[in-house]
Amino acid sequence: MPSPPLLEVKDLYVRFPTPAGPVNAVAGVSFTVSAGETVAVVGESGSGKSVSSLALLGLLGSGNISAGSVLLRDEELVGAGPERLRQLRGSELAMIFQNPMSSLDPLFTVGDQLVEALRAHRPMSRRAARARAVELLREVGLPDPERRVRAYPHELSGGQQQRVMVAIALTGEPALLIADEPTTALDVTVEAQILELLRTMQREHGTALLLITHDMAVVAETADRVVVMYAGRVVEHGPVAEVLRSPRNPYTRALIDSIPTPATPRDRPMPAIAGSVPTPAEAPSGCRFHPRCPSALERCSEAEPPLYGLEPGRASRCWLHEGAPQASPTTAGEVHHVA
Amino acid sequence: MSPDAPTTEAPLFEARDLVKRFRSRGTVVQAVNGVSLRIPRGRTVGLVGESGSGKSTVARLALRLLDPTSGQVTFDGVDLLRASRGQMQALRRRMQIVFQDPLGSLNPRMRVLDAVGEPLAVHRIAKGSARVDRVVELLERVGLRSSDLYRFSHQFSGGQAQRIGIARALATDPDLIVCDEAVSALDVSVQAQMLNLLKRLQSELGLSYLFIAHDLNVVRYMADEVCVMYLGQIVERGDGDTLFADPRHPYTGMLVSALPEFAPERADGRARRAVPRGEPASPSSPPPGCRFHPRCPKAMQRCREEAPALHGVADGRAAACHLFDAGREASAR
Repeated sequence: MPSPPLLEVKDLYVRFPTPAGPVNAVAGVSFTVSAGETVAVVGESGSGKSVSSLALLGLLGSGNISAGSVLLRDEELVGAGPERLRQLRGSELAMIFQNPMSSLDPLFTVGDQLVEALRAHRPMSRRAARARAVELLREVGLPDPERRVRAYPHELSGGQQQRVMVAIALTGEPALLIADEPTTALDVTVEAQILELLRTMQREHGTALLLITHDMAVVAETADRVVVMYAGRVVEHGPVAEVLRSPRNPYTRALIDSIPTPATPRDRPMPAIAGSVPTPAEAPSGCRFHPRCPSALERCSEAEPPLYGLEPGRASRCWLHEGAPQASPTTAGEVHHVA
Repeated sequence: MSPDAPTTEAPLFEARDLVKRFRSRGTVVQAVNGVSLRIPRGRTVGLVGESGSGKSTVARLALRLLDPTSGQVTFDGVDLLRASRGQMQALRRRMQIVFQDPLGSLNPRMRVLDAVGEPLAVHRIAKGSARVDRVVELLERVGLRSSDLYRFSHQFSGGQAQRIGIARALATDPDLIVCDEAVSALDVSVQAQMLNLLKRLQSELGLSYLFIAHDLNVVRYMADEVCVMYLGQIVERGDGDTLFADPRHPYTGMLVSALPEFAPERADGRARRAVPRGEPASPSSPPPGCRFHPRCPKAMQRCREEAPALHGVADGRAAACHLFDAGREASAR
């Protein structure tokens, strides 16, 4: 590895209490994000992808992280005090969510919210902050920023609100932007615009992007590397083009096959995955995907396979790869041989 | 599909020139502005459009859950807007709807037996053990089990809950089912199951579908004819494959090129899509002339002044665009 990663998530466990006892929504998740890189965490509902991102922002309350480590530039975030986490969010780390309307305060203008964010990061006059706010709105492509800076969130469309969220995220010049389903609520033409904005922002500021999404197509056009999650586990990771072209894990393969494309034959059934993602409380024994897996063997129900390192930078959790070296739980991409 | 149905046969469902305006606090929202549709028996007509395009309003007008401001709706030859209460009630059995959010549209305090069996009681179709038998038959048809009868809807995953919604829609043995974003909230692997189920039910039961979704790929897969809506109007219609390969209306072109290119076998670099400009105007203040002109890369002076009509542009295809005005006017189909 040329340089140490900006973010390193190691063997993260996130536990939730339930009436039936604690369950792990995220179980042993590891991945890294390097400076300026885009890493996508993709999965269906119940995969634990959003829980992971909230946990590493310290937004779940550290009590819920039951094991593991989150290093940001070598600083441990698990167990860090709320004050330190608050400092980091908005400076080193920023985030945008699926629904911008619930992240923006409906009672304040877009300008007020940007000014507040700017002045929270560093001391500056109200007037200077106002000018910077207009500049940021222009940068994120909001039409007519001098006028829109006085608009209330409800006066903007969903796409414009998400642009404002990106502007607020940029106020602290973060090294890492975490975007959790940033375009899921948007129409496809607007989605294309927001993804383009994120790419531009990344190019111009060198921001690293951790993209949480259920949408493989968004992954395909945005990310450098992809981490595929299923039922709280990482089941495959690797460079996006390679994983999409030749997925090694049966779940990734099945997930890709079940996406309708313009080339899907209309006169044949869609390839579908039987059943549904188990809830953390009902995670099956052995490999968590085995009840739905077309390639399941007997042992898949008995023991959970480790994450095997395959080609450089690729790993997959499946007994089909038995004999391959196990991927290191710490550094995604590196492999080491188990004695 | 019903290959034996001659094309001259009267369609099961027909809407002509539907208009729906909503008034709210002094403003008028033109949700639907002159939409005509024709659904042959055993076929699927797809409606695709972005938010605000009016597609869900069309769904409600089609079932007369809303009355149009003007226009005409006929179901199996009966004028729905002039039908008597009794006629309407009899017709309601034959037209059903499946909504986007199955958990939101099912009563959480009802057991599956009652949720699926309610239409049987409402329409006095079956009661007692006959009702239970019918519900079990419906559950099995949609891939659920008789052991699910006494469970509550919230005990099911999203996909399973949508199967309950479909079973409920099938209870009265309908001819037409309106699927309003029925698969949009589902995970992609479950979405594929549901598309397969809907197609299987269509061929087993001879159903007609009005299939509404915002995902063009999903609509293309399901529909025999795809109608593209923009701000209350159908701007283009035709076979889904042809629409993809050769979009005529500039909005269809924008929609197709805005789709993320997802072809994993060809992913040697990073997939990129064209980035469209602008966002749809509000239906409460649509632009004059062609409603798409502010975003249209091919807009001419005339587009700012005059709304184009839907014109036939090729076999079985029509587009509402001044670029095709030389063409023959599409029959009012």
